[in-house]
Amino acid sequence: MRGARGALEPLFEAQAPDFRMAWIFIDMMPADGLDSAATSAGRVTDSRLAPFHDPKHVAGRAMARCLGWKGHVAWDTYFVYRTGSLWTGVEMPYPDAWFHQLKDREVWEQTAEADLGTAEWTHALAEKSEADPAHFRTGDDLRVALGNALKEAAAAQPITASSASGS
Amino acid sequence: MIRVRSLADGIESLREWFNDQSACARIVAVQSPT
Repeated sequence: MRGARGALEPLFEAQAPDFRMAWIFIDMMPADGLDSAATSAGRVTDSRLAPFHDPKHVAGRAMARCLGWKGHVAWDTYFVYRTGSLWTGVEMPYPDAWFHQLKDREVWEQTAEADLGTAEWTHALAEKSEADPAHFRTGDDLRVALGNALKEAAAAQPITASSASGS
Repeated sequence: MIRVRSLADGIESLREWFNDQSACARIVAVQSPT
């Protein structure tokens, strides 16, 4: 997962606009937990970073619901919000831009047997994301996409209380 | 040592962070730590 982190850490080093980041470490793999979350969070010492640990997938499910995914957990997923946006409802607000690193089903079907170590992989399809392939980014493409989205979010007209309420 | 906020009891602390930082653009990223 170093490659995924590698797309985020440069944002703190680049001449990015003023921004904040909630970095949610979600327990998805057997070795995941508070200790590994703290270790990963400790790689970046920056007051703009707020690390969270999501052992019960509450944030992962909230982000999935926000995107209209039913019964799935979002991970390796990134939401970008412009200045002024507020979380006023029960659900997370829809982001101004978003990206993911989840394989779409067609790609996953090609590697599922190797991923799971068994030919009996169709039962796991429901656990795979329905993430829109158009938002798929990885490696340098993800780093560039996040950097550009952040610049646009910072430069966008801030959302005011009146515009947020639709009046 | 950096403080890692737990969401074990719910998502409210993330929501509070989100609204507290509304003066800036924000990224909400979710990843496995390993």
